[in-house]
Amino acid sequence: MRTILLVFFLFVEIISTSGQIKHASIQAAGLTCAMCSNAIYQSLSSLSFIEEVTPDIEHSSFEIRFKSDQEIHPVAMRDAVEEAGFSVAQFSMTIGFNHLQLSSDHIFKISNLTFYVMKGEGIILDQDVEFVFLDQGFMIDKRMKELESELGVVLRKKKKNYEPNKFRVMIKKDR
Amino acid sequence: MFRHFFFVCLVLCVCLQQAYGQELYVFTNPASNLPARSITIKASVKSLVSYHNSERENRFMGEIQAGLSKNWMVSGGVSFSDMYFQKGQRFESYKLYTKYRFLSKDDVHRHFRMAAFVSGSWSRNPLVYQELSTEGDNNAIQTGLIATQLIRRLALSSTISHVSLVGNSSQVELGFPFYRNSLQYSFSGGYLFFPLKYTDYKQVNLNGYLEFIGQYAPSAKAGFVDAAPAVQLIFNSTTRVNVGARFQLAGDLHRMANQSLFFSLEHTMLNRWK
Repeated sequence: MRTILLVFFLFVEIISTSGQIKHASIQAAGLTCAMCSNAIYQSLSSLSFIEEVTPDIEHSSFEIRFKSDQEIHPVAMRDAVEEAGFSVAQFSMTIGFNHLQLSSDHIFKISNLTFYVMKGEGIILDQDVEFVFLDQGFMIDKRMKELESELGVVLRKKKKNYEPNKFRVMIKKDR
Repeated sequence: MFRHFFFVCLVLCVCLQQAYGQELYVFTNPASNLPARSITIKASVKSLVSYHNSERENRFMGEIQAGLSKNWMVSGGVSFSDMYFQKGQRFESYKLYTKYRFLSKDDVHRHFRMAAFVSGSWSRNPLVYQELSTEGDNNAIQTGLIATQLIRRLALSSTISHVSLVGNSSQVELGFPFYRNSLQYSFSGGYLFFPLKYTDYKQVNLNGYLEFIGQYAPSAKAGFVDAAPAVQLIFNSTTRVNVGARFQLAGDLHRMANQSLFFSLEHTMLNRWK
């Protein structure tokens, strides 16, 4: 029994440390001007777990690198964009894997974050994979409605059902 | 009056068909708010030649704006002027303003937003003119709605508001009746001349604006419409220099002047508190 438990905990440990967050990318909605982009840039840069923000003003997007020793909080990043006066159009995170096969629950964990991969049963995650966040507030409403009919699920949640560090994601396809 | 109103709408639509837009208007406010936890300080000068003494008179205004949350901002300002038959500059008014954004529909390079605002001003000036304002002239309360649409790089904004005099200021009778209420409206658009392509925050932005600002006194069935062109330079994505003018296109209200010049300097400081 002890051996079985030991193997189980080792397995859980492997799952929880089997990926490494490389960087995130945010495309913001609702702006065109550099002054607006600068407000988002400054708001993101003020978060303690963010190492560096690289803006692309023309496309209202931001590449984000994290401090290696700190927990990452995607909800705080979304709030930072909204507090600057805008919305998140797309939020993605690139994670490096070393051959991880997802089990039937579609879930993997990294540090404080839990990811549920839509349509992820049995897939093997290897090397760098970019995941798009699907929860409300991490994409524009129009795209969320498209995805809801495409995936056949309800992505909008009531506020009381939010778990701050648990996210539904899908592997980014080139559109 | 309404013919002018529709003419103004038509001209604005035609002018802005191909325009690149900004919504940091010089004479009006957009429905968008200041970023949360940010502060903007603003210094302005309004200059005109008074209808009564044909002398150039200037109003100096200072204002502090604060973004309290993503939806709510407040501002407070004071003004000094040598208007209203004064020989020199003197303190004349203070003003409080608050705006709440209650609707925000965002898409990439697009948004539609709506906001409600309330503004109150105290002024030591007597009631002289039929034009009402909360910009240093009257003891008044203004309430209104703003709708702003950004489509790619084209921005259009419209404001409708009600201005009502408060209390009993002394009156200087010049043979014109006074009206205690007026409707104000505006249509604004702007376009970006430079840069053609954004590469960094230090690029100087040059924006052009065309706004139409009107006022209508229902009890008098009289009003005016001004065209208000303006040019704006933005430095370092934080500091704005605005130069503009207002010219009356049509109107039959008794005003201090039918034309005025405007200059302002604004600096925004982001993330000022946690």
